[in-house]
Amino acid sequence: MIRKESGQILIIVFVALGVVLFTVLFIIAGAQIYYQNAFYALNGEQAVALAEAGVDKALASLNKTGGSFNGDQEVNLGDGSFSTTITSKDAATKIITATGYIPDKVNPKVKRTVVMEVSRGVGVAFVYGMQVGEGGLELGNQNLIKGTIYSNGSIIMGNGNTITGGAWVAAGVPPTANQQTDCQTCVDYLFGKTVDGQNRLDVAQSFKPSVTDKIRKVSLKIKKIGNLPDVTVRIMADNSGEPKKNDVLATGTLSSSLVTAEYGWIDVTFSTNPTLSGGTTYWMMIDTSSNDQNFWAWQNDLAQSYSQGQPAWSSNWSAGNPTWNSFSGDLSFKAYMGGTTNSILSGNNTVVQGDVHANTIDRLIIQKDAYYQVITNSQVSGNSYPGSEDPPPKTFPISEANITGWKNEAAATGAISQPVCGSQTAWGPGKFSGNLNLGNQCIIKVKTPIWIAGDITMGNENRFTLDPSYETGSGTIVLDGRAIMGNQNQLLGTGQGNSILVLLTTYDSRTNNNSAITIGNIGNTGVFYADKGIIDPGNENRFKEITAWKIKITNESIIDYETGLASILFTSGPTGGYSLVKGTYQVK
Amino acid sequence: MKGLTLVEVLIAMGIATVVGVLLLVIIVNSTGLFLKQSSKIEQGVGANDALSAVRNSIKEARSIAVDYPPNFTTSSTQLVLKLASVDASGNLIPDIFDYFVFFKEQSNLKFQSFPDPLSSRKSQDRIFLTGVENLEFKYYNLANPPAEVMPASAAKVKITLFSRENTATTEANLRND
Repeated sequence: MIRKESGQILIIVFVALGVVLFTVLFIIAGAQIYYQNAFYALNGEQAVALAEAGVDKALASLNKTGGSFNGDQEVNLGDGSFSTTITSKDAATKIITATGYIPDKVNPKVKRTVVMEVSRGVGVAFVYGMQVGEGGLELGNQNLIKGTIYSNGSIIMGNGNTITGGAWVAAGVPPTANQQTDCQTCVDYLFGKTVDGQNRLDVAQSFKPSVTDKIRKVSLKIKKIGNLPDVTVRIMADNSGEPKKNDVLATGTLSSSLVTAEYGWIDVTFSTNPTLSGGTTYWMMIDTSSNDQNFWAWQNDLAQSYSQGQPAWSSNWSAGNPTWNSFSGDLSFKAYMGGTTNSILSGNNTVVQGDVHANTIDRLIIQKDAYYQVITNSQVSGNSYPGSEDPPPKTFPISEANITGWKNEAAATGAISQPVCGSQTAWGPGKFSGNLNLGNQCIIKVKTPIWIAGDITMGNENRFTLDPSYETGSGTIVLDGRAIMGNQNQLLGTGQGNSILVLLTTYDSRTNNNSAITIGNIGNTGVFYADKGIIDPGNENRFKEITAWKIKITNESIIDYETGLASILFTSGPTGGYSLVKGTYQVK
Repeated sequence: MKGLTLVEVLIAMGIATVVGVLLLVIIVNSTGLFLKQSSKIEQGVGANDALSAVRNSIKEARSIAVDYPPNFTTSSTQLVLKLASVDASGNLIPDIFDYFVFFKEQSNLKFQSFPDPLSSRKSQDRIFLTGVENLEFKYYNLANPPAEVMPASAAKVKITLFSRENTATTEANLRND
């Protein structure tokens, strides 16, 4: 028989279960908090990594497209995605804003933004259809410029011309420097590294202008050892014999691509042109970062032939209380002050579809904004900005040091003889001594660099084509003398990517006013460069890009820049691509 | 009325005691384990957060400063970074710089910032992590494999935090150099 008996074990069981349950829940809750915290921290790091991937992709895309990449809406990558936007800060600088999302942009749990500026450097491979020096630009009638013009001299145009991009007319740079020194007893002054215990990261040379005027540019005689990024050059006031940290008057970029392993005068222009007082000491300073394998050398004159200034170095010019150390010598430089006021003048019905920047504008039809001091007889569809500062002059994208480097490379390769028309064997690389005379219909495949120590004269329908082995690379034919060509001559790249073949001459037209490159009519094409010369591009021709001290276009020619010259890569010589502007990377 | 006999009460109390002790042991051990693991996790999470802050600062730094006089010098135990100053909108101000310093003080990972008067950043003096036994900075170039170099020449910094419970390491490249 079963007897019912009451007891308390159930109560004990409930109590025990309650204690165990509470303990377990307490542990789980605590663990959950830490898990979420750690997971959020991990997601944050992932989002930053995604944003950085977006920045890297944007930079690569900008270089590949020559600067026309506009960003991505959303790109999936791993556990998340990123989006990028590109905004233009100025004609040479873009701002990349990249945001990383976990898990996606629509419903992000975590997002992080990285911002950075990228620049091609002042004057290096700018997005110009045409870049002109102090000689200025003369356009006849009915010409079409597909792209932007940047001129360090006046632009004078006839009737019915069209510029699809913008037009910039900078203040002119005088032909001679106000202050300069080269060297008598020349030695290397190494910087950008530690030398004999001296952490020479910032180097400066003082100078004293003889006039009160705007400083337009400086030229520095430097060379580089290794691969180096662009560096910043500053004009600073003087503070008792040292650069004044809190008085930076102008800032410019020294493009590394213009500097070679041999000394050369490298131009630096500035984003603004401040007025310097005559008889007052100022400093030009190069700001670098330390790298024992990749550094700079500035030519130093131990004879101290420049009596108006002295050099100094510092390990950190912007420290709380920077220390500057003088040393013996004078660093070779040229400082250009003053210059001319330039204008853009035209006949009737000349249209600029972009913005116009010039001191004086006359008779233009401007479809966007106008920046000027004086404007007459013109129509402005956009906004007008009277009282605007004259644009600063721009340096050419190829330096004398680059050209010397190509010549040396060609000479080192050896001498080459007259090319054989139609040969399957490429002509060059090497040095051709003498004048090259081609008749008509000569087809030549070339490997570069080729240095022609004379003139080129060609008739009609000749064609130079870069060897296919250069793939997307480009090549240069360097000429000491003049180039004269008839009709339908072509200079062609490989046909891959943005490959081009450049005809570059060092002929100096500035004293005798003779054209360095004279091109006939109808059907000529190529890229022509004459930084001290005059280019006369003829009529009814089609060019990818022209750069010259002075350009005289008569009638009905087309400059077609939209083929993307901003991303050319010379297989030997300067490179032109976007790179990070030092100091602009931010995580937000 | 029925009641409990003494024997029943004693047995019940004995059982309750045994069960109670077992439960107490479970609770104490579990709590102890939880607290120990929590401490470890908390320090690990804290180390992650601290190193994340150091890493982001390195990425944004313009360069590794040799020193920030009078008290701070970049070394294996201190890191002085030079960053571009920012304005109120968060935009970089050219040619003006702030300084960030990471160092160990007693058993704390400390962070101090010295902004330029024109910068919108505020001066900070913070403890990023406690329980730090040792802090080590190593400076490398970008060679492959990377070689240790002087701090002023470095393009990459490796940070190692040694605490009672964990050792955490991270590294970052100077993206602005």
